Amino acid sequence: MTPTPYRKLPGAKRNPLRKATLWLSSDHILAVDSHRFTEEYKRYYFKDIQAIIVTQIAATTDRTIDLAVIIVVVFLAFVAWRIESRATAITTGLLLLGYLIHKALGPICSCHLITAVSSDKLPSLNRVRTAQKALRIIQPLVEQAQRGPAS
Amino acid sequence: MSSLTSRLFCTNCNGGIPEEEWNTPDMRICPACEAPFRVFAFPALLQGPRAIESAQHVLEGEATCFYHPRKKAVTPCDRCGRFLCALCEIDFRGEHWCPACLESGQRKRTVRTLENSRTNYDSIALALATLPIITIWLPVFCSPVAVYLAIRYWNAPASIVPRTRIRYWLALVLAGSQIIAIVWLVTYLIDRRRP
Repeated sequence: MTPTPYRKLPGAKRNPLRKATLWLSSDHILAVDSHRFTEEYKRYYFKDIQAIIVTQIAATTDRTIDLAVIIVVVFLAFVAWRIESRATAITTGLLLLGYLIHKALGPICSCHLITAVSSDKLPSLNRVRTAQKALRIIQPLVEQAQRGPAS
Repeated sequence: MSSLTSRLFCTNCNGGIPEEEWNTPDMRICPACEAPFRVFAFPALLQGPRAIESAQHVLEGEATCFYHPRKKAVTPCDRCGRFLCALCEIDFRGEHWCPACLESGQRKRTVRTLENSRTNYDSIALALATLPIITIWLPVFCSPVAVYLAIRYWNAPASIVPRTRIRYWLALVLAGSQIIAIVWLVTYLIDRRRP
């Protein structure tokens, strides 16, 4: 197999039909949007990147989601207790487990990469922790490519 | 507020982000939508738009551009050697390329950094070897196709990013097993029908 210069950056957004990842090369970031049977590539050269904006979900929205999940879980638990349904109890447990995993992974965010002609969302950087981890790698490389740190 | 305020916008509410909020060590709160954000701004943002050199008209005795005979040639194409004016010269990977070479490189897939999509034949072969198993009859058609795809595209360029051949191997093993099972089943049924 021929050696490849690409190195994977932290983070991936997966669903059954798509997977988005970011890869690092010597002079650019490669965004791979995989549709299972085909892959689409988009390159962002270090010298063209103007800014990267990480926006965390607003606290009010976060609290609304928390409240909605708690209401649904309590309702399902109550139903499971009243009708003594094992299936409903398992569903409630799985929902609660999913929610706990979601909370443990940290706050969600959207990450946008700005160039002179585009503003693209980077779907793989969808958690603040992951975005910060990736940006710790990207930031010095972009600054080095553009000669001198940003003011 | 800085004059550069409008250069960056909150991706949640489209409100302008003041320059003082750029490159901060921690998250800041958007005054408009209250969403926490962090901006990593780079020197390219502060630089003005890059100056594009205009192609100069040719004087008598000067070399002309291959594509624009009235324009002065400034450099030859590093691929094909054609003379190019400032308008036609494309700075690519540290070389000077003409538009035709760039287009040809993209069309013929000879330049990897110009490719914007690829087909994953290994995933197709694996899907053909696994998904039809839920039916009894579909593997009869799909497993030979899976084996064909795995052999035909074994050496074809795979994904640009690192990817092993494990899917090809799995497709070959699974589809091969299915073909053997089908052949055995057909032989068994024929033998049973014999008096």
